[in-house]
Amino acid sequence: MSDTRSSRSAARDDVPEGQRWSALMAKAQAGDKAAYVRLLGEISPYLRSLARRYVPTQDATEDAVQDILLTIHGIRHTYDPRLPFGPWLVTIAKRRLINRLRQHTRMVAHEVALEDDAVTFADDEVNLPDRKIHYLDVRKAVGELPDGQRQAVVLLKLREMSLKEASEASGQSIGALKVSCHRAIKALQRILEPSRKR
Amino acid sequence: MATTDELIAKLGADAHAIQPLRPPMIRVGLWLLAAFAIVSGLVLSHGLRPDLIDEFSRPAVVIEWLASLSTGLLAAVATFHVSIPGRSVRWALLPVPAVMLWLATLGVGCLNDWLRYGADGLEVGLSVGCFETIVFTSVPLGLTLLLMVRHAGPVCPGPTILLGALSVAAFSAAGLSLFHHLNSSLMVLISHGIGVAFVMLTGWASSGALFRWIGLKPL
Repeated sequence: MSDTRSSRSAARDDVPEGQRWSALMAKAQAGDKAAYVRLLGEISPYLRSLARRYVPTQDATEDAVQDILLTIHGIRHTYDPRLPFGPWLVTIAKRRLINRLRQHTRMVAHEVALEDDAVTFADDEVNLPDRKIHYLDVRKAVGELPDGQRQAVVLLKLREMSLKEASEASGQSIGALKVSCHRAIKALQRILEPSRKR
Repeated sequence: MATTDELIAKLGADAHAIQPLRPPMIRVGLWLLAAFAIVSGLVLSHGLRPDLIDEFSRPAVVIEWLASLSTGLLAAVATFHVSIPGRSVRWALLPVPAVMLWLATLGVGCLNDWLRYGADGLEVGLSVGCFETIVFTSVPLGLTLLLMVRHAGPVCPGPTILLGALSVAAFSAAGLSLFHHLNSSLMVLISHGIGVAFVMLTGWASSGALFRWIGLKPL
């Protein structure tokens, strides 16, 4: 369990480019930015291949790689250049990946899958298919409306005129048209959908 | 979100020179100095117990006290090693023999009390003062240690805190033995045991929050 034994076992577990990466990290610790960028660039593919074993999608893999790189950056002072680089790197990477996996498992355990996507609200009515209304029923219902309301709904809703155009065509004021149209819609709802809650 | 190449460029731009950590054994030494100062302050503030010399003339008591000190020392060594990525996790086993010896000496103490005084020698009870002292002494010791191993947050928070808590609780118990007297070994076993276990479990359960608070997020 001594450092020597630890170093020996670490050397056995070292990554292929371990010695070069160790030298690059030593330079990075001394403030050599180019060496640091080169090191992070070189270890990224290795981390990506490691991450693919733990996370399912490409996006998740890239997130995991970035998480490991950020962790390395935060604790790069813990690397001792006299010891192999591989065990240090692999320990950080695996612990971060396992942590990620654990978080994912925890999150999935708290999620509830919706079994029926069509049902979105608890109220029964909103989950029923829309009832189709025949145009003849609409025409008949419009015919039953008082004159002012009928004129307003025909001009504004059926002929799709603007309030100004409808006002000029009917001789009613804009305010009166708005009120008549609102009342007409309510009356049509009562005639066409008598069971609907209001 | 930035691409990995963009992130590397940002990290590279932020890569100022840093001082690598000192070797773990040197850092253990520094923490022991801090621990010695805190526990000494506590002992001096309470005053040594009057029967200290008589009590420590008994080999069993000395062995028990040395076992608690060894537990604190070896757990500290283990803490500083496991907190560094790439070190063998077997360091975590280092304090096990000392813990076993500590528990064994307390167990032998209970047996002796029973043989000497019969059932009267096995006074059962938890000394609340004893428990509180272990817990409250562990706070400054633990915070000092937490600050020194805060880099373990993102990689090895649980084992680091567990071993660290064992170390601080063992040192607190060793300091406590110098100024606090308990009637029976069983009371010592219960009070010290519950105190140490409480510190360890609280530390373990709150390791994530502690590291987040101290500065490095375990995520």
